[in-house]
Amino acid sequence: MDENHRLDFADIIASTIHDTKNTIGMIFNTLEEMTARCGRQGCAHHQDLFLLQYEIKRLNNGLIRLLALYKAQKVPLSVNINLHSLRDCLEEVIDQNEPVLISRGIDLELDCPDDLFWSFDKGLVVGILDNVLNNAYRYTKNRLKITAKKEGGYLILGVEDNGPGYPPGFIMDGSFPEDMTKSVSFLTGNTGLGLYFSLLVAAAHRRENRRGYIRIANDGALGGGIFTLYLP
Amino acid sequence: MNHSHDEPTKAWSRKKVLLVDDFRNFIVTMRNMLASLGFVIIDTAHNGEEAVDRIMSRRYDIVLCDYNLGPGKDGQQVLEEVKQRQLLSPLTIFMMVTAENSLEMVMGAAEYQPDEYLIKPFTKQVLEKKIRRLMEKKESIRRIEKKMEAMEYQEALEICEELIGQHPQHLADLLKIKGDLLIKKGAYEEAQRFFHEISSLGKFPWALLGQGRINYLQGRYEEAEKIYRELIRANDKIMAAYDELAKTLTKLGRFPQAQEILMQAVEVSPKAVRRQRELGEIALRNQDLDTAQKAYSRAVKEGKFSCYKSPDDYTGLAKVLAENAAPEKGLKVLQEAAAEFSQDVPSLVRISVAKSVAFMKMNKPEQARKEIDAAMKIINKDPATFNPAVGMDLARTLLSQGDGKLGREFLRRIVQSNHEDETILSNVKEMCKELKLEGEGEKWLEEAVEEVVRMNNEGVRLVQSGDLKTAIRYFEKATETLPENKLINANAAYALMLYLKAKGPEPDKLTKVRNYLSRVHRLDADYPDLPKLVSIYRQLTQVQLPWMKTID
Repeated sequence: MDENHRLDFADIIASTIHDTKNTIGMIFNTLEEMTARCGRQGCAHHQDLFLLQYEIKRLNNGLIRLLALYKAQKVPLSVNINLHSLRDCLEEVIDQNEPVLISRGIDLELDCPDDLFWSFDKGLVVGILDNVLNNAYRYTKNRLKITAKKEGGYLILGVEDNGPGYPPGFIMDGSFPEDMTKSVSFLTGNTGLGLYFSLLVAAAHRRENRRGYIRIANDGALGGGIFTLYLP
Repeated sequence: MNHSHDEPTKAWSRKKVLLVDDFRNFIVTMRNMLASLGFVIIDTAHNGEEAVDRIMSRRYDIVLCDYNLGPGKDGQQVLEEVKQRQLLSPLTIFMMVTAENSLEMVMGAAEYQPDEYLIKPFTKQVLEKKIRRLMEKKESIRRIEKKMEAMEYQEALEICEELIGQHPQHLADLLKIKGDLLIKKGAYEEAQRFFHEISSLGKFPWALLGQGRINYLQGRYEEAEKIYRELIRANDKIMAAYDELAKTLTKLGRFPQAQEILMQAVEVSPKAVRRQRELGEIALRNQDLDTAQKAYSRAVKEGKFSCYKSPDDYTGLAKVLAENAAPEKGLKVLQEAAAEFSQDVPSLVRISVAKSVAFMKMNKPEQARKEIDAAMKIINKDPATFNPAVGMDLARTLLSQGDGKLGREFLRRIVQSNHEDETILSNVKEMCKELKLEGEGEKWLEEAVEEVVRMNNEGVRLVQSGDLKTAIRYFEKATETLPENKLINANAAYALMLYLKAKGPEPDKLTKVRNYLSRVHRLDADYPDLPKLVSIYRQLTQVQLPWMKTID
């Protein structure tokens, strides 16, 4: 095979992901039906099915992120800015996660004014929050809190829990890391790709000469970790 | 937070849903999900073409359409087509289902955006909530849409303001609608201020496009150019910005730059037929025949799947081939076109005229003449098949055949039908220059324009003098002479309506009014005085204007 006919490996991966995602989607929805049926009949595996649903969702999120990163490598990340009601967006994130919240007995609190509007790319931001929530389940004891407010020209979105907090390597004060590859550690098992993607999305939101950033700390009101997204 | 959603919603059992996906398993899953939400009427389509057919034949409340639909149209093209052809009621909820959350969303970012994106997989509850929210939104804008449809823009604006107060959760949509309404109403200054205020909230593509459009409409082309360029710099996927920028540059006479922009645009999104056609047109004008040929060929190819399919793609390609010393190939393209559009009379006129151009290049004046005669026969029978583009080609062939009288007659008809359209006037001027009709041409053209102005002024004077009967007769004759002139038709309708207002309704006169207004609408749906005329018409009668579909 000559140079021109060789397929780009990244393209192969991307097309395989698309295909895999279809299957995952099927499993996800079938499982959802099963879970509902199971719930009505009060069968013993009800909780296990919720857990499966959660794991499948993680798998799916990972693939979505991969696709997004694949595209971000080819062309710069494009943002589709519009004005959004924060309450609508955050309720959407919560709706997406409701099955898991219920199954794990996690109490989620939303603190967001009804009249809060901000300009951002809804698809991307909802995607980040969904990911953060998905992670937070694994570490929280039993409480989660999502907050939204505006302050100092930024929209501030926080996700906090009452778990043991983020490990030291994850703490981030808001600056964009000089060398992102350092935070992507394949050794620790957590590839940090989610974080990398969140940073890309945050930074892609610009206004005049300010841009979005992320803060990760352990000083939340619930006593655990707190992830904060700042959007100008 | 834990609601039970196991009982189907009764109110949804009468709503009509269309599911579009090429993946049959997914259709089955979705059908079950929708059924468990209480939907009963669920149709399906497995590709883009089928989806358009379904939407054409039934009015759906909800369309759930996957973005990836295999070969043929994708979800975005389905959406654009049904919106462009006005097959989709503004009250229909259109949700785009995607496998990921990136590129495709941005592609439709400015103009043809679905009501919502659904990222696969999603739970029943997410779907239910989104539908509920969107139904609420559609319900709240129903009143605005009704007024908009009726061209009652002021009333629509008032409702819009009222809703912004009542339903802040729909703020983004309502603001966008408000911007559209201000432009439609012709309140350019106010629109300018509005978009300026919006820009302090963020750089929304729709608001920047609106700002550009306002500047364009008011003749501030350099300003418009700056805005569009900024928009593209910030996000190179907003295709409408390229199109508007190219239009603006054309207005500024910077044709090579306009071509360059369209070339960038087709690089990003090569499937858009109209854009390829426009690129072909401008490249031909710039004598960049290779680019023109490539663009027109692509337009022909993509047009097979598109609502934008047009004989102009074929005639354009044939023209390029003729100029590129291959008129025989051009003729072949036109024969293909004649087969493709065999049922469409206006298209056949255009194709015949284009054939005549090719025959001229091949030095076959008799055959060229035959095509011309065929075209003219149709035009004489049905004047609606005539348009400036056809007229220009007709005139060109006739003039280069030495039939100066008839050729000039066509040019005159174009000029007098469009005496206020600077682009058309300058095209005619250029052609006169090219065919060396210059010296006499310039003066002749001005006189033709003046004649229409005089004719119209005389009618207006009669209206103002109060002799409406004479004015009506006068304009009626004028519309016979110039059936394609918007201003004359609009004033003919106006004079009649003033008369009816004073004397009370007369059915046959109302029919005439409807005909004039329909003609204006057919010639230019955005004719600035049309809303005003429609509102006067409404005071006279309840009878619906023929081009208006009713929103219930």
